[in-house]
Amino acid sequence: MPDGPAGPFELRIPPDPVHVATARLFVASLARTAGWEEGRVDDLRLAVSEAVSAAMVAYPDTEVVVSGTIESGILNLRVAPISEGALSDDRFDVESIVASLFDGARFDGDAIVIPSVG
Amino acid sequence: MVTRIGGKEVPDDLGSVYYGLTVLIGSPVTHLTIDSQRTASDCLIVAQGEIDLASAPELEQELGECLESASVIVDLSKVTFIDSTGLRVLLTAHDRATQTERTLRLVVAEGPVTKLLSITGVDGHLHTFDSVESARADA
Repeated sequence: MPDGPAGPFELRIPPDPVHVATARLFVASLARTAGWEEGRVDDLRLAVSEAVSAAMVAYPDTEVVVSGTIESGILNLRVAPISEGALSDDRFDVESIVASLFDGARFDGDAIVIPSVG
Repeated sequence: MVTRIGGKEVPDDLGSVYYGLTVLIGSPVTHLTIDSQRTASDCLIVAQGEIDLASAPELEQELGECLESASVIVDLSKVTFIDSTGLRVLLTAHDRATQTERTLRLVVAEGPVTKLLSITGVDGHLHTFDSVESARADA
């Protein structure tokens, strides 16, 4: 696994649906630079799209933060609105899709956490 | 929009290179092109690009207009990305078509659409084909 970049990252995006694609592009760039193969990058793009969309639907007036760390090809990723409270109950699709893509993915308060995938 | 990598702020412009990463921010990047052709027997919608929270309403509107008068074939073979927002639009259109005794047939290629249909378990619920010709032949 290539070393790639290291350190924390953070992307704050306005609550505008056009920027869901911005989040996908951002994490895909990180993952490719970290040496992920393209199939896993596609899975990550889908997972992030689901998470960011869910946050924007639940909190339509709130910025969304895509943050985490990357080291030695391992990506820890957090997607959360900058707001108090949990995501709405209307998240079955998101949870099932993310869980299908990544073992160990879980909902943690406002965030959908995808731990240690690479 | 503020981007920080390694604790430092990345300039808010297009194509910033930071810590070896190319960060493209500052402009919308969802691209979806929709064309539709109405024939005597059906309405063919050809979608190319990405279907997500930003672009799904456009597909939803086109599907709604077509289903008012005919069965619909949606060619998704050139769709490069789709998430559950787009899937929800397709499922809603399928239900509406069924209620009005019309059909919704999807043309899909190996890739993001077939993968999403598979992992969500709806691939057996929607009518899928590998070409427009085979979709029309099934009418």
